[in-house]
Amino acid sequence: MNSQSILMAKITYLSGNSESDLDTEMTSYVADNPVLAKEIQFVESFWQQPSEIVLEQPSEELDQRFYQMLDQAKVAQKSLSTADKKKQSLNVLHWLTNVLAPKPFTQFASLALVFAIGFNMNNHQIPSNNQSLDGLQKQVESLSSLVALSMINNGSTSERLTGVSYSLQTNEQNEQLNLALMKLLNNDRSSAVRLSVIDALSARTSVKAFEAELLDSIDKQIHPVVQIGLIKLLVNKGSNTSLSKLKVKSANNQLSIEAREFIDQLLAQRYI
Amino acid sequence: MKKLFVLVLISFAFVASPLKAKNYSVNLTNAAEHASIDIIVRNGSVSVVGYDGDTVEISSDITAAKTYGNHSSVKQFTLDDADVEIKELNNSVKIISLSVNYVVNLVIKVPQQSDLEIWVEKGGGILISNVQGQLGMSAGTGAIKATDISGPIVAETQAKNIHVDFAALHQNKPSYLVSHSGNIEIDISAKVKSNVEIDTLKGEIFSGNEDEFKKQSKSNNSMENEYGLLVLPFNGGGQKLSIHTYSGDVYIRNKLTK
Repeated sequence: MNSQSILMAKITYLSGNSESDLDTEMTSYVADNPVLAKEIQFVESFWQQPSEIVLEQPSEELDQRFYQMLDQAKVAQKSLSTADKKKQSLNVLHWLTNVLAPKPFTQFASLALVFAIGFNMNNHQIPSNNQSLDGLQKQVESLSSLVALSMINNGSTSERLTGVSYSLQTNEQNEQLNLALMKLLNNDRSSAVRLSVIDALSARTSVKAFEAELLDSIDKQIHPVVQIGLIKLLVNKGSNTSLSKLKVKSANNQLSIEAREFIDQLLAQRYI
Repeated sequence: MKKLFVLVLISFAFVASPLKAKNYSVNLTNAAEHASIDIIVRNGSVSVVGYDGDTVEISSDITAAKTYGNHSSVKQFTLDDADVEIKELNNSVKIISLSVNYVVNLVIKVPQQSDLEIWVEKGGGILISNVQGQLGMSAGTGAIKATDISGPIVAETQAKNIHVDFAALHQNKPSYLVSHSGNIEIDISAKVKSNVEIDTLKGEIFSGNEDEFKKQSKSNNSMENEYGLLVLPFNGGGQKLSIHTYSGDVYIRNKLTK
């Protein structure tokens, strides 16, 4: 029994996939572990949110207003046509103009105008819906961060790998999670977990906040594949300063033979 | 001449015959729950087979790792403990051998759903069969062979091969196989849904799947395109199975479905 298994048991219960809540042993474990208790409390509060987001519905008068405006547009169009007919009788030139006038375009333009007004009236409530969705998304991100952190701190290699994978669904600015990822990158006993951290960082839009740490991390890696993974990440997303420092490391034989060869290859291909 | 013959016999006996061959049976605290088994062997090999039982059965076979000079008339004082340490607490079983001067070969039967963490530093590697729990393993200088498993699996070798024969692929957790210069070979059913992602710098890729590999990168960065991941979606894609080598080749074989 560990924090992760208790958290998962709680989530399973809250999501209705299990009929039994935490047993006595788990409850006493939670009582002795304030951090876990806080996580459980968060998970409970998350699940106690309304199960469905109440979206503000369009006004019931929407249809009525729409058809009212449509009628008004038709009336206006008819009066325009009548006026045209009167003018048509006045001279042949006007008659020809009327015959050649693009009536379908006029009708289409009127309808498009009515549609645009109706659409705008109906959609003025969207910002509040977006706010609800943003809030929900933040809560989901926060929950994903908790699950990711809990798994990353687990003893099993597979759980740590899964935790890194979960981190892809979280807010990139989460400092606690970023710290945990860097710790894994530098200290995890499994190269697979270290490589998965590099994969996760590669999926981010920027690694600017980590550049110095990633450069330092290269020196801490025993396995050439991890060194090469870090070099690829820095060449793809790093600054010119980092690339210069990489070249210095390579020139000073601070890297494995394989990593140095890779840098030479990138230099020859003018990627650096 | 006779003395020499006796000496040779004694030396041979130290090298070839087991110093200790012991069997252990470990009862789990809660046999209804699945077990987590951590195995650490500094010098030797580990073979694990899943079975229907609810105890962990361990057979150890210990032999000297090196031949000694003439020590017929002197007593041996060793600081290297060849014993295997075994502990169980709340279904968590630890099996540890830290000996360097002795080769410790373990054959272990575990309940089929057990989670395994195996760490072998050097020696004969790791064999796994018919275990359906989570697998994390590093074989150091040895090879890894896992058959009839469903993962998730995380496996790592240095220069020896990794061969995984998947019975199925766990769909909730990713798997990752890494080798520096060893080949990585997987046998996987063509019906399994998966995204096989391959990253190899100098290795070749051989696939029995008709689908084409695609570059994962969609950016205009030509370096990322050239050295980026190759992705092969099996049956429209599914859980991630990552394969990473430096110079080892990669073989993906479609299993004939029963």
